[in-house]
Amino acid sequence: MTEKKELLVVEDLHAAVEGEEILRGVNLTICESELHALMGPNGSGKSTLAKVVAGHPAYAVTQGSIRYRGEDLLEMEVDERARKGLFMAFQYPSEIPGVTIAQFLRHAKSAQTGEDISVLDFYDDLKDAMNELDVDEKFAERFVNDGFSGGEKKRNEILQMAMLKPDFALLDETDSGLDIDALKIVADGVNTLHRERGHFGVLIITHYQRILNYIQPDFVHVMVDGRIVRSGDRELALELEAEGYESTRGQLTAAGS
Amino acid sequence: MSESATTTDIGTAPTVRGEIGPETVTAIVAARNEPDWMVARRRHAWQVYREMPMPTTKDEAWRYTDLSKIDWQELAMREPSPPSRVSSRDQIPAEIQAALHFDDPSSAWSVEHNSASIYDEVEEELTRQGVVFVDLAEAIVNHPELVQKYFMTSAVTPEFGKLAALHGAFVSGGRVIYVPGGVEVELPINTFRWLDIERTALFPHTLVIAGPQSKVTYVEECASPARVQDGLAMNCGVTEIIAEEGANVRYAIVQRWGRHVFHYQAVRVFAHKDAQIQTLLVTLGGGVARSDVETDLQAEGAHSEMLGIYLGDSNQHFDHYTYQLHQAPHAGSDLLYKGALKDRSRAVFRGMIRVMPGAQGTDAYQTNRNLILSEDAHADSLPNLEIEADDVRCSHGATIGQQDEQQIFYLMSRGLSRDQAEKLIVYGFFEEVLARVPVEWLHKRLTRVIERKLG
Ligand SMILES: Nc1ncnc2c1ncn2[C@@H]1O[C@H](COP(=O)(O)OP(=O)(O)O)[C@@H](O)[C@H]1O
Ligand SMILES: [Mg+2]
Repeated sequence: MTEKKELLVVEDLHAAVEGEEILRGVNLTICESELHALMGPNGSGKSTLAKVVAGHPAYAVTQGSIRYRGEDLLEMEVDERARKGLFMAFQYPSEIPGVTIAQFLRHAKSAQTGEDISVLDFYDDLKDAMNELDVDEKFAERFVNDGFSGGEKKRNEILQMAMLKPDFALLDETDSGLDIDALKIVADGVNTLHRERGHFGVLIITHYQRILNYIQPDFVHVMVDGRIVRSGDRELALELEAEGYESTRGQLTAAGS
Repeated sequence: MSESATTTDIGTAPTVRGEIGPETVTAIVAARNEPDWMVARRRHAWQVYREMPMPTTKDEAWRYTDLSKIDWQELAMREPSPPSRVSSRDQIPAEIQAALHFDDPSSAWSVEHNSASIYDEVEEELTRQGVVFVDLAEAIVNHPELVQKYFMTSAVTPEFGKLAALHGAFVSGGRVIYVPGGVEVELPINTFRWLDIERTALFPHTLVIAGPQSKVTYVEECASPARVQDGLAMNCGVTEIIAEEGANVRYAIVQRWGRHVFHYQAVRVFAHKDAQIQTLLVTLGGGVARSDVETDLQAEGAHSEMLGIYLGDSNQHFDHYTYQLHQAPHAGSDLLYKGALKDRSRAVFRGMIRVMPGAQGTDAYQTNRNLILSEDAHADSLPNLEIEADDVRCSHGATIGQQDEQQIFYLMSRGLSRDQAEKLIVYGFFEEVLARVPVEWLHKRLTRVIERKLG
């Protein structure tokens, strides 16, 4: 265990939006090649944590630190984080009318590698990735998320992840609203990266333990009111599904008193 | 171009420069050696010009663009020393050659240098089919029936406005395109117009006559060298498009003059039954640019798609006025103008849909969207409707907005720098219009031109 390298280390993280504190002391360590799941009731701050990690400007870190592969993540610009191998699949990705997925991905890919990639190589990779994800080739010629269904937006996020091959990915409710086939495809996307890139780590934010049937998590965490109140293994997810979050709330009050 | 016009040096004809007066018209007329009917047209236009007051900012249509700031006295009313014609592509001045793109698949080309037609080429097939593509001076001599019938008689008359009247008096250069009934010209016909002088006014005229069931695409590009020019120049252009029954006409004008140019362009479409017309105005250059773009739907089934793109920077000032006139039932018009403004640039859009009594079953839409890219940039948008018929479907809408920080964040979260993200969003913003441009190379080239201007 000790030789495992740390990917993401969150320490005593406090973050506020519009003056209101949402994260109230988050501690979380994710090492290379680990799969973590983060669960918790609506409004507990899961997406806020994800956005702070990605660098969203609306969220102000008021206390604590995040280190990514040993570097101070909070010092990095949003694009720099991405270029250093951090990827976030958003719960509600933006629409970019007039820009095709292919165009967008080419820009992203060359920003990442720092050089213009050959059009042919790029389209080969894109085709392969689309095949894996079982999306039609025309998909890449559609404008980014413009008029997409919820499921299409999620697939688009996973397609981007497959193309950008990050070292660490954060998936924010990518499984919500997906049928079982789509869910398997998302899980495949994660598992493929995990298999191909040994050090690839992931944090999956989810409401349902359903996706955890396809992505075996090493750790499961529960967030309540801006703090991680319990951590455990896969059994915890099953327990939560059976009993709900009420028991964790009780523990929080007990622990906090 | 009549040869006699090319010899009088500006220095020996001082009346041509400076004051716009009857002597100026006389000097132009004398130099051009035109037939009496054309001289009469010029004199009539001049008369109209004289009788019309110069628009001021008190006139609603010119509220945002102050013509009194244009120093007319600075301008020569015709090209002082017109460049001479060449007979092959490689004889075209190198600077112009470098700026135009003969590779773009086309069926005809003409090149104008400071309003003088210096080169043209037409595919034999077109000539065989009876297509005419000549400069105005040649049309006056060789196709007088076309010019007499259509030149400023129906689409744009001198009464259209003060600057159109001035154009009628001093018209120089420009092209006449005639496509006989039933002839379909697949590849675009192009004109490349180069302006590299100062203190001169150009008056290019475009006259497109598309016969019944014909089809044609005409692309005009206006450009100047990149070097800075200080003295004022003016382009006062008029485009007339006459689309006969069932004709399909697509027209694009890409304006990227130097910043020393005051650009005025009137474009008016005169559409007969079932004619399908698309116009595209791309406004990138000039210091002050004003365009009046009108569609006159004369008969049932006619349809006009009116597209516009503008991208301003530094202190450019763009003023677009559009008019969708529905005179007949069951005709359609669909307007989409989109602009982005950087630095201290400013834009005005004023659009009008007018549905006349009896034009029931009209479909008319008008949308103007503005993207403000800097704190000091500014846009005004004034869409308008006047409906005097029942059973019509009309809508108009305008937006003026900043870039969406969520979009920028999303793109940056994939590794794009802020600058790249902003540019990609602007590019996407224009794509809604560009995607409707049916000529692939034009689409691509406009993309590149916009990218370059975004810096
Ligand atoms: N941009 C924002 N502006 C205002 N409030 C926000 C914003 N983002 C999150 N919040 C608030 O923070 C809390 C946590 O939200 P979120 O992180 O989305 O929770 P979760 O993802 O766990 O459902 C909620 O009360 C939410 O209303
Ligand atoms: Mg959430």
